[in-house]
Amino acid sequence: MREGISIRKATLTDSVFLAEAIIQADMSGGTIGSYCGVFGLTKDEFHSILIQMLDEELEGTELSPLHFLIAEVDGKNAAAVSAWIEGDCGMSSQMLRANLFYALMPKTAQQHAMGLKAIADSMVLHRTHGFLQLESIYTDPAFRGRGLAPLLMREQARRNFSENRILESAELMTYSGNHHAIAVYERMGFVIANQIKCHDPAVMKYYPSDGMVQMQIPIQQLLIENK
Amino acid sequence: MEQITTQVQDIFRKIFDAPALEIRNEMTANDVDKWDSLTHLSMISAVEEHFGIRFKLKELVKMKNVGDMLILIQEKLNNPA
Repeated sequence: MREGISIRKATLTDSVFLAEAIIQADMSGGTIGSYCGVFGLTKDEFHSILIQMLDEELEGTELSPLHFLIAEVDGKNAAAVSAWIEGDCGMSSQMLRANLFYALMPKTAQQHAMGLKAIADSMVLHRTHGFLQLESIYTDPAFRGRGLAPLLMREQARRNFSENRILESAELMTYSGNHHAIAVYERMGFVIANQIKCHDPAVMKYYPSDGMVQMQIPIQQLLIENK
Repeated sequence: MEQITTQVQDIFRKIFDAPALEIRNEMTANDVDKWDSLTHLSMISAVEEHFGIRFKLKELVKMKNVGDMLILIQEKLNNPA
């Protein structure tokens, strides 16, 4: 491990940092994230709901502390990445997350989301069953430029592959306007496997971008660090 | 159980806008075109309202298919809280 950097599994005591990581990753450097936009919540409101969701420790979605690795730099939380194998819990992450939303989102927020269903539907890409999902990839701005996110992504791949040798591929999704992140993933060897674009201009009121890309990489390739 | 199945089927037909839909125990969201995360919220809400029951989160995440839901509804109707 590089000097001053350590990687550890997240715990429930990291909920505040993980909630911030999830929200900031969802915003992709823009001014609004899809969770806040679609559910009509302020960042603070969604942050407190996220803490409750993380407390449930529901495996199989990015909204579980159990799936996160955290990189610390000189003892400070600096970056986080969530990873799980899609469908491994017997239910898709999309449905697990919907159940969390149903149980913990205010009904008014759920109704707000229903009103945006046409836009939300046009922004959905489906995760591939059996692929390692890398999600909520976040680095605190104070620690950017050190390769922490790729480091955590490879460590997630290494740990998950060591527990599940039949794992073949990893997958991630990001917003099409997140050019910097897409370039980083492409340098790591990810290729765009699927992409969608919403043609309703109103989408920009609720999402940081008007499209999404799904990128994939063979696990063996992800395990090799580019020099 | 047959009555519950028929009533849930009616709810599914309405929520998923599929008038000819016939539910099966092994059916999941993958088998129904419009069963996505947002319609899932509507479907659970409609089932709760129709039967006068409430699902806990730990119960929702154990419902892997329609059959699991039907059994849980029956249990809740037989053992009201």
